[in-house]
Amino acid sequence: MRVSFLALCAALIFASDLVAQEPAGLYQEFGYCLVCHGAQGQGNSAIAAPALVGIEPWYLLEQMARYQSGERQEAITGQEMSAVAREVSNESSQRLPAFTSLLDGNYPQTTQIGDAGAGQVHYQTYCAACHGLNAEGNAALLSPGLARLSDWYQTSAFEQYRTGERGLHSSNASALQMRAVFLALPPEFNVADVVAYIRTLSTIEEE
Amino acid sequence: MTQQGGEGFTRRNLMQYAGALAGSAAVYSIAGALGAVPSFANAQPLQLDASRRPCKVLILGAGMAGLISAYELEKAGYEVQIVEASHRIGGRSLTLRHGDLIDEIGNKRYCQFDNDPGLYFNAGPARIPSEHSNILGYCKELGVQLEPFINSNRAAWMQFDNFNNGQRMRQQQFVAESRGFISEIVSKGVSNGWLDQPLNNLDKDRLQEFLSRFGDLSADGQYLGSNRSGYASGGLLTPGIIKPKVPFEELLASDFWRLGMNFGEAAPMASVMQAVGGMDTIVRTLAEKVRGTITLNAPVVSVKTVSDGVTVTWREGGGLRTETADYCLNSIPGQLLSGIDNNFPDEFVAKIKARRRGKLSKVGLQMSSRFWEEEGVYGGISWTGADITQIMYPSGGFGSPKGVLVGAYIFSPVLNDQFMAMTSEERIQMALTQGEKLHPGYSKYFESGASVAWYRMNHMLGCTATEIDDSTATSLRQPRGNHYLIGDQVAHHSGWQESAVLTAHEALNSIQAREAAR
Repeated sequence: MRVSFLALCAALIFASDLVAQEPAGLYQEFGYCLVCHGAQGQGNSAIAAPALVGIEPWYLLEQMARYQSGERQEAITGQEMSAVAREVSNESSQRLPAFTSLLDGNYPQTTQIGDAGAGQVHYQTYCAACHGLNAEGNAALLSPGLARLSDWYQTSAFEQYRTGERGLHSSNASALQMRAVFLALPPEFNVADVVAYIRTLSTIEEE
Repeated sequence: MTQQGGEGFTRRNLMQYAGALAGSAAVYSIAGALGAVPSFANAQPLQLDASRRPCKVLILGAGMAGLISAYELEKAGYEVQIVEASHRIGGRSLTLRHGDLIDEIGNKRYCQFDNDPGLYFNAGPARIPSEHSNILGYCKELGVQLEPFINSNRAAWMQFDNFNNGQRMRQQQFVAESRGFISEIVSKGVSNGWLDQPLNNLDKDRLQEFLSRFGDLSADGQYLGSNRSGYASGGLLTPGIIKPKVPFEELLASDFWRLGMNFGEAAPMASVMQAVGGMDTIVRTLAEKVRGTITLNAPVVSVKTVSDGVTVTWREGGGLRTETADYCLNSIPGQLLSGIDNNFPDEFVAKIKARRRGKLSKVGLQMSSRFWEEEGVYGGISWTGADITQIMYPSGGFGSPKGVLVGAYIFSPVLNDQFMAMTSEERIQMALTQGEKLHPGYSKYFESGASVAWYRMNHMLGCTATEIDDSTATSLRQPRGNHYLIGDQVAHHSGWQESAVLTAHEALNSIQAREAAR
C-alpha cells in the first residue's frame, strides 16, 4: 500500500513539467528553518531571522549546539530559536550543512547607509585579525564569516554585544572576547561604516 | 427628523461628543448603533458577477479569507487553486480535538483530549458577534449551526489578590456593590443640589427613581445590599438573606473593573455566538464546498507579479511547482511574506515589514468533571489578576460528565513572552496552579491540556497585526499588479473573522471592477 502510494506520487510529479526536483528528505526534515529564515534561506528582517545562505558548516553546528544548550537565548527571537534547536537531534544536526548548502536565496539587499571607505580602516585595524581580511571568518578562532550576513543582522549583533545580551556567557570564550574587543573600541569606530565595508567584501551576488 | 432643543444629550450631541473623542470612525459606529446607518455600511457589499472569460485565481493560505474568496469566486465561475503551507486548512480558525497536531515551532505536540466530539478547544476565534453580519450570513448559507456563546455571566467568579483577602467573589456581587455605591453617591448629590449645574435639564424625580433602580437603593436613597449579589442563604423555601455590603474602597483596590467587569459590553461583545461542535466547522464546511484544488504542506517560495497576472512558486511533494494565474489573493502573514522572494514595490515591502506580530495565547484543559456547573456557573468567563487572566467555561454540553475549559487566555505582550518561554508542561502547570485561586481543588479534576501560543505557531508566527495604522492597512489592501493582500492582517481591526471576510470581499469587488472594464 505504502509503496504504491509513493509510486503514484512519483508518477504525478514526473508527469508534470512544472515541477523541479529538490531533495525532498532534507527539505522535509528542516522545513521549519525556512519558515523563519526565508523560504530560500535568504533571511527575514521582519522577524530578525538571519540568512542561512553561505553559512559555514562549523559555525552552523557550533551555534546550533549553543542554542540547544540554552546558552544563546538573547531576546525573544533567540528564545524561539533555542526552542526549535532543542527539537533537532544531534544525529539530525549533522545533516544541516548539507541542507543549507542547497539553499539558493539571493544575497540580502542593502538596508542601511554607511561609509564603506571610512569603515575599511576600522575593519582592518580591529576586526580583520579574527574575522579575516576578506571577512571570510576563521574556524580555528571560532570567528564566523561576516561577508555573507545581512547588514541589519550585523548591526543588531553589535548591539547585542554592547548590551551584553551576547558575550556574557562564561562557557563561550570567543563571544566573551568579541564583547571585550567591542567595548574597548575607540569612540570613532562607527558600526554603520564598518558594516558597509564588510558588505563590499561579499562574493555572493546581490539581486 | 426633528431635533430636540436644549442642552440635553440629543442624538446629534452624543455623536459630536464621540467624534471629538475618537474621530470619525466612532461617529460612524455610534450612528449605526442609533439606527441612522446600517452597521458596516462602510464596507461595500460583495458584488461579483459571473466571470466573462476563463479566469484563474491563485489563493495563498486556506484560512477564512482564502476560503471565502475561493467559495465566492467559484460561485461566479472563476477557477481557483488554494496553496496552504501547513498540514491543515483553517489558519487561526483552529479547533483542537483528540489527536490533533499542535504545530508550534520548538514545541510540537498532539492534543490528548479524549476521543469525544464534545471535548474540543477553540484555540483561535471563539465568538461571532451578532453585528458581524457577513460571517453570520455565511453560516446561514452553509448550514453551520450556531448557538449562544456566553460571553458575560455574572454568576461566574472574579479573583484578585488585593481584594477580599484573595478570595473569589461572584461577579454579580462586585457589580451590584459597585452600582449601589455609585448610585447612592449620585443620589445624595442630587438631593443636596451639588449636581444641579450639569443636570439642570433633567427631571430630578425621574433621575432619583432611575438611580434607585440602577443601584437597587432603599426608599431613602441608601444602598443597603442587594439580592443582585446573590443571596447569602435562602431565597426559595425560606426568605433570602442579603449578603453584607462590601466597602467600596475594597472594590476600587481590585483590578476587576479595568477589563473584566465591562468586557461583555464592548462594541462587538454584547451578543455573540459560536459554531456548534467547534468554530472550525465554518472553515471545514467552506473547504468541502470548494471544488478547486487545496494543496496542503505547500510553502510558497516566490510571488512575482507579471504582465496581467501573478506567478507563484511553492514546494510540493518534494519539488517546486510554479503556476501563473490571472490574479493572486495572498493571505500569507506579512511577517513571513517578507521572507519570500518577490518583486513587490519597495514601499509595499516596507509597509509589510513595519507591522508587528501580535501575541495571544490560550490553554485548553480537559477536566474529569464539570465541577463549575455544580457551583452554578454555566458558561461565561471568570476573571483573575493572575497571568492566566481568565477561565472560560463551555457554553454548551451542560451536564455532560466531562468538559474542556479555556484555562488561560493571555492578552498582555509581556505575559505572553513569559508564557512562550515555558515548556508545554510548565504552561499547563501554571494554568492549574493559578486556576486554584478561582476554583479551590481545581487541579484534581485535570486530565489533559493543550497550549497554543500564536506567536510561535508554524507558518503564522503571530496572530493579528499590530502597530499598523489605518492608512498603511488601506494601502496594503490595494492591489500591486494583479496581486492582493487579504486577511484580517490588513484590516483596521485584525483578529476578527468578519475582518478577514471583508478584506476578501474588497479584493473580489476590485477584481470585478477590473474584469468589467476589460
